[in-house]
Amino acid sequence: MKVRNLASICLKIMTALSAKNILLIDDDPVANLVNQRIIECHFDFKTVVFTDAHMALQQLKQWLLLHTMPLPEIIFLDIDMPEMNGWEFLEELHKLPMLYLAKCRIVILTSSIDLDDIEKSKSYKAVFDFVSKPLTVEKLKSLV
Amino acid sequence: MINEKIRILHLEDEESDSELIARLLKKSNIACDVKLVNTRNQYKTALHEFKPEIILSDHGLPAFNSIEALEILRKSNLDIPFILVTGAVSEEFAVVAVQKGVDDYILKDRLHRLPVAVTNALEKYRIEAERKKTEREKEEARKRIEESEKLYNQLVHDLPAAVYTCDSQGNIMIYNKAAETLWGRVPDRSKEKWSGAWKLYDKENVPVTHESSPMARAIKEGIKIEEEIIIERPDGTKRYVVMHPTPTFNGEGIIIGASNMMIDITEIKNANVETLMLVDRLQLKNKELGQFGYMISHNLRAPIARILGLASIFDVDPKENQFIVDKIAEAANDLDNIVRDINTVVSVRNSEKGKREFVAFETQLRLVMQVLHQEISESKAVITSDFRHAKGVFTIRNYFYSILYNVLSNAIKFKLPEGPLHIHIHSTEEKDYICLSVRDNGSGIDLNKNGTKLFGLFKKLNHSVPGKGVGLHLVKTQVESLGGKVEVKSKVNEGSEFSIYLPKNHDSVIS
Repeated sequence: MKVRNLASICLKIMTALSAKNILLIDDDPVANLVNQRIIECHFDFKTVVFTDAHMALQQLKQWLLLHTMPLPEIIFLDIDMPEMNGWEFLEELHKLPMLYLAKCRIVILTSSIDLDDIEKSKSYKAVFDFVSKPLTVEKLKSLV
Repeated sequence: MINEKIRILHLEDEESDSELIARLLKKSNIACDVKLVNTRNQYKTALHEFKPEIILSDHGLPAFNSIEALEILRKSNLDIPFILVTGAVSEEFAVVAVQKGVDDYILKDRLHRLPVAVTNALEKYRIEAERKKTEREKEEARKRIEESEKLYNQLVHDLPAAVYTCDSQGNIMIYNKAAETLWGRVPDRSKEKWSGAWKLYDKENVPVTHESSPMARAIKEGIKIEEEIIIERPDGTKRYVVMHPTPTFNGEGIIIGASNMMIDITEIKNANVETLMLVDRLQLKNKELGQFGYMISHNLRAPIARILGLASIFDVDPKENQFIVDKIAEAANDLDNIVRDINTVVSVRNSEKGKREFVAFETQLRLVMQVLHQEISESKAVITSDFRHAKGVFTIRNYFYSILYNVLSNAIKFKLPEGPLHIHIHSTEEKDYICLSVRDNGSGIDLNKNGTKLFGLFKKLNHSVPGKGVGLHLVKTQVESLGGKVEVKSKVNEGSEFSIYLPKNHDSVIS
């Protein structure tokens, strides 16, 4: 399982090397499918998908360390995920050097419409915006 | 008296005698105004109009005599001395005259005694009048005191507030009807001191002796006290009372006793308790409402967002359409399940009332195990129980069943993949609660990480296990609506213990 995941990540990275890319972190495959279709059909972006926030974090760290590829333009982050949730991901992310991360826009993409969640998201420096699912072409346009 | 002229009515037909007497009085410095009469009619009129202060009377008059004159005087409303001034009389007459009430008699040949006799008689009457007046005043005062005492007693006796008094030694002196009602008894005044209550407790329900009661302290320390106390009646009922013992001091500032007004605040207290309970319940409801808001913005929103998203990519790639429709149906199904769960939870919350009855643990466990038969045999769980210390609890049967069902099915669900599952259920009796503990050797919970989520609605700690995050939420809601509480002890990979505390007697509030 893990070996396969790693292989697919490598593939994703290879494809992403050539174009501007967007990182999708969401445990729900349906959400990822919807987001990929919206992004890829209307914009010139490549998407990299992680269903596990922890793995996404490891990957980001590696990119930062090796400078092997440009950081994603936008990171769409879901909140409600098992193991590591969106907030925990942000906590970890804040421990990394911000200088590099400043280039990528982190956008919370969640089904929640809870005002408390919106407020909480604003408390993280790295968060650029809060978007309620589903992602639409209009919403994406306003972000890029 | 000396300055004012004394009005003397003189009954005399001998002019020479009357002149003699007038002269004699004048000579003796008795200032006087003498009216001379000599017939019955003149005499009667004079009594009425002249208003004499003393009467001097000759005995024998034509068609009238002194005894008759005396009788007329005594029948009138004048209370004045009557002195007989006469010539020689027989011994018998003198006796009769005195018996009839003549104050003095002077023989005309010994007139020198007259001034003294007049003065003495007047003095005697004055003193007598004074005495009568004092007597009358005394009597009036006594009557007034009697009346006010009667009013006071009536006031104390019929006062709706309970009142009693003690002397400085604590002997119970007076108590009213309301005090008797409050105590629920009549105190034995020869034995009991300080209070007529059967038993006393302080606010925290700690027994208080009569010798250290507020009344006793007020008398011993000479201070006014206001204190809340609980009175227990012989029939076991308890009343919340505010005591107001106030010492009474005599003129020298020494305590002679105290009065104590006892205000029964039981109804107010109970109303307060009810209000507090109501506030608690409202706060809980409010919190739950908040949870509902959260739930709607998260759990309900998720499948909706998914449906919307899927709909927006329909026909982008026609090959995917079937997949998209399937997923939309799946999301709609999720939505339906969530709405059903909400309905279950809401209906539990709204049915707080229910018949309370004795619910036996053994029977309920057997029923739950029958329903969970399949799960138990699949997980090869071994379930043991020990209900020796408490065989059951007085509660609502359906709630209890649901609580036990959810805790047990939870324990089975979260077994460790390796090793046999052992669940032990046992009951204990505590001060106010009956406690039912369900202990397992399953996967356990990281309470530091998930403690707050554990009982939340639609909170799932382990996404790999089927379930919707409703069970433990229901357990908590139901236990709390029964007036109980749930406690959890757990260690990851070692097991969990859920302790359910249910109140022994739900109506333990003071009646």
